Amino acid sequence: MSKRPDLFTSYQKEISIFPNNTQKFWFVTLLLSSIYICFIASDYWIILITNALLVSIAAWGLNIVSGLAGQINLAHGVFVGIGTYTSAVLGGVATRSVIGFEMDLLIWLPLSGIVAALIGVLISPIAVRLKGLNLGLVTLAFVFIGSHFFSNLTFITGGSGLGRKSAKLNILGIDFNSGYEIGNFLIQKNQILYLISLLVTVLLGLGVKNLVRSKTGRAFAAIRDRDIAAEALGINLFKYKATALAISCFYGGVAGALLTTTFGGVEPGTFNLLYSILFIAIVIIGGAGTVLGPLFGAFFYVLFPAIIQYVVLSSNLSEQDLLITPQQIERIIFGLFIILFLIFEPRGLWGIWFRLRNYFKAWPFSY
Amino acid sequence: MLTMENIFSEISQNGGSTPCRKVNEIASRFPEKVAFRDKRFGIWSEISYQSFWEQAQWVGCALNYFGVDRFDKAAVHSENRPEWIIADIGIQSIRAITVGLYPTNPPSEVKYLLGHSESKILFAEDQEQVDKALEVKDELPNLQKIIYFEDRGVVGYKDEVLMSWEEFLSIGKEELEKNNSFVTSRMEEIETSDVACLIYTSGTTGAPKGSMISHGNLEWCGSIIPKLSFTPGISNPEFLSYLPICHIFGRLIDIIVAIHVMGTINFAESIDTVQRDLAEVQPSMFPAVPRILERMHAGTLVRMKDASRLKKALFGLASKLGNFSANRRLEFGDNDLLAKATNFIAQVICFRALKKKLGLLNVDNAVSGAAPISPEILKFFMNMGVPIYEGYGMTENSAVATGNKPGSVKLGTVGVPQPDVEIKLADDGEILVRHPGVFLGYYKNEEATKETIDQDGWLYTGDVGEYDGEFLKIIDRKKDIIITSGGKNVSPSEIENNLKTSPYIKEAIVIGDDRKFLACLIGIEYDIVSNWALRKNIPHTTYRNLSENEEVQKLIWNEILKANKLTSTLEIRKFRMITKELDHEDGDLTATQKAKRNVIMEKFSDLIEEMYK
Repeated sequence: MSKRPDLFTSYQKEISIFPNNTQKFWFVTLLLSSIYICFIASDYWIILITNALLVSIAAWGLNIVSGLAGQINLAHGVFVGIGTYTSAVLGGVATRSVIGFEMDLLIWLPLSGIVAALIGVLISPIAVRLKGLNLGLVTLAFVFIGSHFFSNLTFITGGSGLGRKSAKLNILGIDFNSGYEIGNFLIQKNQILYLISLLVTVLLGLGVKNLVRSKTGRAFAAIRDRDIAAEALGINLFKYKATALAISCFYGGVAGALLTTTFGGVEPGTFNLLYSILFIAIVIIGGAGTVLGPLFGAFFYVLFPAIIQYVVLSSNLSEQDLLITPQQIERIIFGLFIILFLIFEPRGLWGIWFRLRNYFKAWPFSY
Repeated sequence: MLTMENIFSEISQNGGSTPCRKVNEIASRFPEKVAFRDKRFGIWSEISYQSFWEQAQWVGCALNYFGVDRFDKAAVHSENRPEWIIADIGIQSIRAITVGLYPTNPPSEVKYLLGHSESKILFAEDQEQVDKALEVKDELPNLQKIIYFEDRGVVGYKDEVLMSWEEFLSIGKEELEKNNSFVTSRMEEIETSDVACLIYTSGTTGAPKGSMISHGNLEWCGSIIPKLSFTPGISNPEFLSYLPICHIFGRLIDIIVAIHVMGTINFAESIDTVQRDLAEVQPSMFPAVPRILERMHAGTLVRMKDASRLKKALFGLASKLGNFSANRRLEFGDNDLLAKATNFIAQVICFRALKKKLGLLNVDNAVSGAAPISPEILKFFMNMGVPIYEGYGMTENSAVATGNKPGSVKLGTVGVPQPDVEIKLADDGEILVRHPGVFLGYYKNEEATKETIDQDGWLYTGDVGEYDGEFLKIIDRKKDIIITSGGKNVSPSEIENNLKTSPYIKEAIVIGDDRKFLACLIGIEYDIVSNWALRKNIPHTTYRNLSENEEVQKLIWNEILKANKLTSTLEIRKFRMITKELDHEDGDLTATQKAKRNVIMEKFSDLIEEMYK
């Protein structure tokens, strides 16, 4: 059948995640090379890529509720925070100021997602009744409520300015916190985290892809395109909006749990309004409503500053010459990109990818 | 599963068989093999050979139930779809005779065809065809039942003569359960001299004539498949059925060749989606008529005009390389290294992708027949690496006579005689053909039969040609040859085909019999000319409006001048536009979309006279 990639003899085949061998091939190739990178790249890059992978999970989360289901959410960062603290409490070490239960990763990772999702469900009765600007305002309020709790529940978060240590990396009772030795070969903690993140990213990425092609995914798209029409089609708005929010929070929670584990510790001030808006920016730059978009956006967000820093540092210009710090340049350029994307390529990086792909797909024609 | 070599050697050993027996054979040997794929709601649903044969038997039993006996006729009036072939095989398996009607046949022709053939049962596709039959049913005493495939719009009809395909099959199923071996035993009776189907010729002149094609003819066609110029080379071949099965060419490919090589027949969703369906099916073999190839050629050129500069440049380069490669291959054979290398580059930069778009990627054999085609078009596909072998045949000889073959291609000819085929020229240049595929005669028309087949079995084709003992070149239909008042003999179809090479020209009718010079009537290809006009900012509304536009006339005149350069005989001096689209229902075209020369000459006689004033 490989000679006839477009001939579908059943609906299942047409909507399968990898409808043809080319896509399977690229998926496997990309996966294998990602694993290979883990063993050749320096720590700096491993941490950077781990970070990018985890940010893309969080961005996928926001993309589900905003890109797919069309509900604005300014409080995504809060749910990332909820995941973070769930993991820190369940997997972290208790000190005089904070609680911790030193549980296994297999327990705290899914629970971080689930707790975030539950809180999402808890607030959904408010969120799903609103839309547009009103919803934006309400979610904005969540950000401040969240920040308030984060800074005041000191037995969980360690309080503002101080923060707490992240969860321990114990899997199936084995302690990976200072690397793991297999024969003569030592796997660093960073590499293990990278591999875990890669695994989770692949699973959740396939999850998004699967969601998009399912009945639920189609219901989301219908609500996004026109909620009244969707309701007329028999789609239960309340149920599906709540589902979208819950799934979105789950992704955020899981990402948050692993993100802090990568950094080792976390301060409650992190989860402010800017943090939430960051994810919106990533989704927009990547391409809202697409599966690959948030992945592109996250890598762009994480790797682009690293490249700018590298360029600024290697140009041998001192801060005095530039009047601003490399971090500021980074921010300015990043902001510029958001503006440029909104004006020239609203479909984001994915849009560029899409056009590029179509250029070759239509070969030798133009359409 | 058998490889194509196994299949061929089996055929060479056992000879061909008539399609119904072959289907029975495949159904018992490879029941799971996919016989049909039918595109419904975007999904190609599959029907196995086992289910195919089962349903065909039900059809046979149900026909018997309704009193269709040996040598009775049953007609099918439908677009190509699995039910067409299932009904056909069912009819033939009980020794009855299939009559195929073109979906475009208007009620008056439906009446003539059903009446002349004395059909007892009509299989009608949908409301459109049912309506046509109901309109004339009172004048058809033999017609007993009309079986419809699609119930949309027909459900409310109260007429007792109507019955749905499902109901018909369930009657057949009950009947088959009562007598399990009814169809198989009846099939055993079939003799080679039995008529299998009546194929009504399109009749550019006069009423259609029903050619009686025998089971022997079909068997013979099957037996020569391994040696035929058009056969798929790989096992499990895929076919796309879009040529009307009621025409001999469609029947030959879809029912005889496809079934003999145990292929899978994919049914195009409709005639408008052939292009897209082709790209999905990527068939192993592509039987084409000039019209389709002309459209593909024109479509490609027009879309290339919209392509980016890089793509255009690469297409141009690939065409040059392909042309070079094709010429080398014609000169030095298929194994020429330089030809292979240039072809490879051309494929990589452009043609592979283009072939994929056109659905020709897996085609290892393409054949053009049914009407003459311009060598320019053949060259275009040859450059692309899809050699199209022009063949020659007609209803009266089961569509088998000559064909170009891999290794022996001569552009502008229709190739060498197929195996077992004898060819000779009559004194006046008319081509005579003799082989076991020559039909039995015209149904209920002794006179015409006598005129067509002589006592020695030679078939008078009505075509004038040149034969050098190897390649046959067709000049034209005998009655179409133009003799100008200056005494020059001109073949209008050669000039017409050169004209039709232009993407802008859809129809061309050359005139000049008994006249001082040649002139022609031109029908434009509306979509493409309209696209051109938009680009030039020429406002237009209808077909007529566009045809009459001065800029368009200039465009067409330039195309005529180009075609004049290709023509060896006389030049076209004047032309007029046909201001309506030619149509089968108006009687301008035959069912196979060939222009009816005499009808058009009469209809547009004032335009013609104007040119010669």
